Amino acid sequence: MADDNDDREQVLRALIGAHGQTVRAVLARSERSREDVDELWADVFLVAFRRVDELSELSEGEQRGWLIRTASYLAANHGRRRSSWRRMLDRLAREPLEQQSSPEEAVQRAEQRVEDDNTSRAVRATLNRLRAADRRVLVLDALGHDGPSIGGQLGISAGAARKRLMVARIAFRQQFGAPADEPAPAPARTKP
Amino acid sequence: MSKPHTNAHDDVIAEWIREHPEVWADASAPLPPEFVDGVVADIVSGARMARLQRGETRRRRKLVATGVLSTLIVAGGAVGVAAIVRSGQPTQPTAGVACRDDVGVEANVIVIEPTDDPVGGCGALWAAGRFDGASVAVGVVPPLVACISHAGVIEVYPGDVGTCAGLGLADADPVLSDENRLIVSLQDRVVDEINAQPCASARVVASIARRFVAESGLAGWRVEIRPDSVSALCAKAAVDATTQVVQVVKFP
Repeated sequence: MADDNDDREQVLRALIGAHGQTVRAVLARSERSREDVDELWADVFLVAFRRVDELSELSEGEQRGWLIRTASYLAANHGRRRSSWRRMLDRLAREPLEQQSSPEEAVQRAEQRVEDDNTSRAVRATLNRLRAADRRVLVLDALGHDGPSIGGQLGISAGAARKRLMVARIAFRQQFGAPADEPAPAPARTKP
Repeated sequence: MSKPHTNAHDDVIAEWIREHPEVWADASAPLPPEFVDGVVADIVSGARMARLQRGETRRRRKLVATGVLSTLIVAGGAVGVAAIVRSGQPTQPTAGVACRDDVGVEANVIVIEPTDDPVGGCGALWAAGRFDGASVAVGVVPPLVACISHAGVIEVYPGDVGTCAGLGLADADPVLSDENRLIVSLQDRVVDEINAQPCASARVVASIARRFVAESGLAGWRVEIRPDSVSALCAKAAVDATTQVVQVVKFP
């Protein structure tokens, strides 16, 4: 339990360290302006700081789920007038964590199911073995960024971004299924 | 297990990524430590929440990155001096200029740095299309007027000669007084030569700040180290015009 401001700050920094980039990726999906992404990102962690005691009790996956939901919600409601924005932040800071159900929870359940899947493990291993630049462009593409948007994120032209995406996909296919990626045999299952 | 080698498999990979948020961080570049430090200080100090409660959130990056300690003091200090100010001079000259996109405290705001031409400074934001949700077309500069807010800050509204009075505010004088110019100059030195520089201990920062105060031409000002920051190895300074204090505080 964080019981003073220094402890609370340390928990906030840990949350940012673990999930700051993920939150940024979520916000960048719907916000074009870097300044807006910066402001929304800070507001997400402002709400997190107000609930830091509760969040510190959650698992990393649960923390990530809550932060993604909060970021998505704030991004979807960006543009409200300042007064209603403040009221919305106040509500997010009070709302019971377990009542904020969303499709992300279904995602987490699906995530749990596919963990046992060999293909899933191989995809993860392949992604981990790619260059960071290739991984980044694949994730940006998967999160809905088009060529101009990926170019904007990487500071390159839209054409160069599309070419980089093509290169990354080729790299993935070449790496996928390589011997080092062969998944461990699935555990034998017995009928109950 | 089949090997993905077609566009359909590209879709499978993308779907897998969407179902695994733990890899989404790869879409974002590492966050600059100074950006994180600035936001954490803004949140932990309460300054960000105070701005929200005043209806202000959007600030120029330089204010967030290097002037944050000054705004921190303004956020806390303004509460105690929120008397009705009828003077045409700001009591918070270092707080910058609040450019609003509509009449009233609910309007969106962008804070620019202190300037002798607040109407011109805010007009540049309008011309650049920064108020894209306003009632006039993007890029159009409406008639603007500078008022002094109840907290003693210059605020520029779209409006005319009667707008400030209609809001219960005083019209801002065309230029800053000599004393306010000196205060703004003092803050500029603190921001540029202390806050924007690498960390120094609280005692070193206090020593530098005392020299700045002595050289500022201002009378009655003093430098204080906040009690919880005396032994800090990394400290910054904030200018509080209302109490005539330069306060040294640990950072972040």
